[in-house]
Amino acid sequence: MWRFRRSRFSKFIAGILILFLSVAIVANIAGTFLIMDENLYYAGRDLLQQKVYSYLYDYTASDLMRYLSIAEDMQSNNEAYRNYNSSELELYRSKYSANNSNIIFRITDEQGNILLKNEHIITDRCISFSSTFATNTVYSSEWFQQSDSEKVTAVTAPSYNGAPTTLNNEVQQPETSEPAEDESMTAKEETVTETKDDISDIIPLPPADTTKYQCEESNVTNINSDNITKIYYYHKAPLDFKIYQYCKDIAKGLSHNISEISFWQEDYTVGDNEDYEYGYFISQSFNVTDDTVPTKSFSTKLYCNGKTADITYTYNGSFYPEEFESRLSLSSLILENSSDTSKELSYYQKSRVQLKVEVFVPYNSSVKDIYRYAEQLIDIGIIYMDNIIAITVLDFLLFILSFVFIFWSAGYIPGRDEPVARGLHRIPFDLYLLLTAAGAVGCLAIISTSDELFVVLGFIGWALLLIGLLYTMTVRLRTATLKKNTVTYKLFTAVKSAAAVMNEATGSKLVIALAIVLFVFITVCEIILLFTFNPDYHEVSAILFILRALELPVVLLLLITLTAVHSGAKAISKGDIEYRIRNPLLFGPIKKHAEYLNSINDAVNSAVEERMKSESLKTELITNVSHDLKTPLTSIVNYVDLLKKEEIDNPKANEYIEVIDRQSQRLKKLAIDIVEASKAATGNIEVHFENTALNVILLQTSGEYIERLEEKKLLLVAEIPDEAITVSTDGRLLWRIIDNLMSNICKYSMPGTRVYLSLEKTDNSAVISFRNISREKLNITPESLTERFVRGDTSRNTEGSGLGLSIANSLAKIIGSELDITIDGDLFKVTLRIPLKANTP
Amino acid sequence: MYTVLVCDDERDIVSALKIYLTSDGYNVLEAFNGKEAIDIIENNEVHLILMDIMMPELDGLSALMKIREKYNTPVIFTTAKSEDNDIILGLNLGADDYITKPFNPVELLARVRSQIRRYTKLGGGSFTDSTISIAGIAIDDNAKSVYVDSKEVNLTPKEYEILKLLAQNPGKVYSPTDIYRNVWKDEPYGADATVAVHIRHLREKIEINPNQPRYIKVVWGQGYKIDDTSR
Repeated sequence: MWRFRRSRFSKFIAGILILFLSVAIVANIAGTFLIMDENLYYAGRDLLQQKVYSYLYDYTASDLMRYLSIAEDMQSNNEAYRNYNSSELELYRSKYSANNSNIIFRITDEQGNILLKNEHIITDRCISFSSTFATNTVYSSEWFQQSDSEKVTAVTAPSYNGAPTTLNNEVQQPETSEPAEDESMTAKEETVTETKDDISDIIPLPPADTTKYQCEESNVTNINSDNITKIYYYHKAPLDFKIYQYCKDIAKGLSHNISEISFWQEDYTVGDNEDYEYGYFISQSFNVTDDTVPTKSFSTKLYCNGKTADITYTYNGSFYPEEFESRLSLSSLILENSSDTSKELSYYQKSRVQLKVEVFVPYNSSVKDIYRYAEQLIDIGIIYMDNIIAITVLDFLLFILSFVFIFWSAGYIPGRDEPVARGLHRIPFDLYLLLTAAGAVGCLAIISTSDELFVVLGFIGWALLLIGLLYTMTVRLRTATLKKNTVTYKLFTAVKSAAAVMNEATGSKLVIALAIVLFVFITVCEIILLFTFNPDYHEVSAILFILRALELPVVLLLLITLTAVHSGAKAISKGDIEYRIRNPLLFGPIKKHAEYLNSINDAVNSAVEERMKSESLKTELITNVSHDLKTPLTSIVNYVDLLKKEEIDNPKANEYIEVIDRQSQRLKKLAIDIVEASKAATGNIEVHFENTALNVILLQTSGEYIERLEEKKLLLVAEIPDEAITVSTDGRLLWRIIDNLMSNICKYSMPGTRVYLSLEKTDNSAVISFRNISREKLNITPESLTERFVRGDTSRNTEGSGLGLSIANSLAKIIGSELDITIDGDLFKVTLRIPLKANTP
Repeated sequence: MYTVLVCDDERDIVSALKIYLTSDGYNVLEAFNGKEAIDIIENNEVHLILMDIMMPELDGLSALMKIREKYNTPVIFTTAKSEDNDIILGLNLGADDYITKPFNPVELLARVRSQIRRYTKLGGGSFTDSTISIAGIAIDDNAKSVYVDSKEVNLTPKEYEILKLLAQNPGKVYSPTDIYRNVWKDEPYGADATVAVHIRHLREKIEINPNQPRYIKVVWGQGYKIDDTSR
């Protein structure tokens, strides 16, 4: 399996199969439709045959089309003809007459008599045309010459048999113009005149029993001309000088068909000079003035004994069968030597004729074009008609199989386990995509213009391209090179790395790279626009381009320096007091601007340093003062204690000692708290974040405080949830906050009230709230309570230092929590909001 | 009669301490800087030293280092420096205890007593296999009696159980729930402060200053433990 997957040969076979089967499937489907509809089939064949010859012989195309249109007209304009089976009007590819390489247009009547047979003789050099029309009375009457003349000299036709052939040979250039033709004709006349010496007395009798007279005509048609106005016919017909008699007989024979025959016949005697050659050439002009009501005149040049006579037949009326009425008038028969002997011959014929029009086109087995193959496919399709659906399905399955295989094996090559992208798969993908798109556009473009064969080939090529696209896409996806191996991606990474380099060098951003791209884009757009509107002013475009090229560095410099100043200002605004804008590219006012910003930051920096210094000085001072206070305080506390133990009878002295004791205790507390408050406020405390269960700490709190609260006649109501609420915080500092708050509660609560301690969890924080009823009236805002040395009661006569809330507030900030105080009448509420995740400030 | 050396550059404090200690039955020697203290120690039998840190000539920490070169006499620092770093430094240098100024005379005396007991009667009480001894606490599981620095304390059965639980695994933090399950042999009903209250009581009985426990440490937000390293 893997061997197949890697094999190039199997892929090649699969590719060939795909190509072949796709054609076969299309052909099968088309064939199926054709076979299902017989008319469609014939139409298809006709179409194919037309195509064949319009492709092979452009010259005959117009003729063919003309015949077809005649045939179609006959079919559509003629009520009677419509009754006929449409198959009688057929364009045959005359494979039935394999020797015939000519295109034959044939009109037959009901009896199958050929009325008209036009033959295009196709050689490799030219197409000549010969027309054989068998007329009945209509045409046979054209040879009337004399009336009641017994002396009729006949010249046998055989003596002139060679003439048309020679003529044909002579005029094989289809392009030959009319005058040239005339000349050659004239020349031929002379030739004929010279070569035919012996005068034959043979007067062939017209066949007595025939009602039709057959003329053979050959002509050379200037087929380059779209609108054929003149066709010259050169008759080689058996000439009968007793033609009058003959025609009279015929006229008699046909009298039931001919309503009127009129002859205008002047005496005309052709001298039986033996020196004369007998024969004639008739030139006919065939005028088509109107397609629907053709008026045709035949002018016949009679040549007799070296003299010519012009006979003009005018033939009016419908050529076509229904009411075949025509008036053939022999308007003039002018003999050269008797100028006044014009004759007019006219007759009327009314007859009903059904015609069958057939066009035979040659079957040329040497022509192997696509239509030929298509036709063969159709023929094959007919043979396999019964199985065609099964064959189609089979084809389709094979096709799918090949398709799946080729995509399954895409990218695998012999000798490698992993798929690799090689050869064509290294072409940047977007280029390939572009090529495919261009192919599609090209195919659409040639649809209407080019030859169908090219269109088909073009589409096949495009389909190959498309399959190739899918194939290479598979390979690229498999080797993960689809994205990377594109011009776009490479450009992008190049721009990106250039931007990175620039970023390093200048401290600016990707913005610069984008700006360059934008700038270049705008410039290109400008130039394109300029070209569009003023395509002549190339110089202007060039100058614009140079100007832009000069502008770019300036714009870049501006951009880089502004970006540097911008990012500097941003850093400064974010509080980076150490930041200084330093960029060697800074210049002029931008440099000044940067310097101003720097000096602002200098000022801020020194102010902050000052502040820090003063804060730390303050902390140090407080610590030192506190320390220095503690030493004498120790003595005071100790000696007051000793004094209390002395037995003093004076009650006032005892009272005073009590006061000193109390105040010294306060002083002691104050000295300790103030250091802590100062440290907390300046953040001079170590913090260790760890997981801390708030419910546990509250249980511990209530354990610590429950008895102290009871001493103060306070009832603790702890609303602590069972579930563990764990936050990341410093438990020790948190305890100091809670301790401060709880000891405040002990100090300031109204005895006999309840103290509420609760914990709840919100989306991203835990909230501990402390609620108690104040003993004293609270005439203070919550905000000022957290300031140092502020107490809810104004008496300053109690045990607190006034630092508890301040310390708690500072510590809360240190552990990233929020302390919020609400006063609602006597209800004092403190909420401590602790984020669930450590939020180091 | 035990001898206590009091060393402080503040004469009033030395006098006051002398009064307290004398009244409590100690023999008091006085020194006013580190050098004097070392001299006295070298010439006298001293059972305990109370020493300030900030002193002229030779400060308390330096003096302590010199003393520790030869003696293992218990040393209690009395210091106005309440910063954690100073205290930890002092304890690491070999101080046995510390008390911050301004101190409570009663607490001071309690600490002095405690240290002298430990120093002189270490291993007080009957020690058997069933005795758990940790830091200054000895728990006799047979007699169900507890000695802190050789002084027996009376505990309720629950308090005793809690203390024993914590002492069995020194350094391990027991959550209130753990303690409840182990001691009460029951699931705690909801959030209950019972354990915390018992611990508080226990601390009040064992510790000299329950708010600054030496033995039973509160790990806020986690539980309780006894540290073996505590002096």
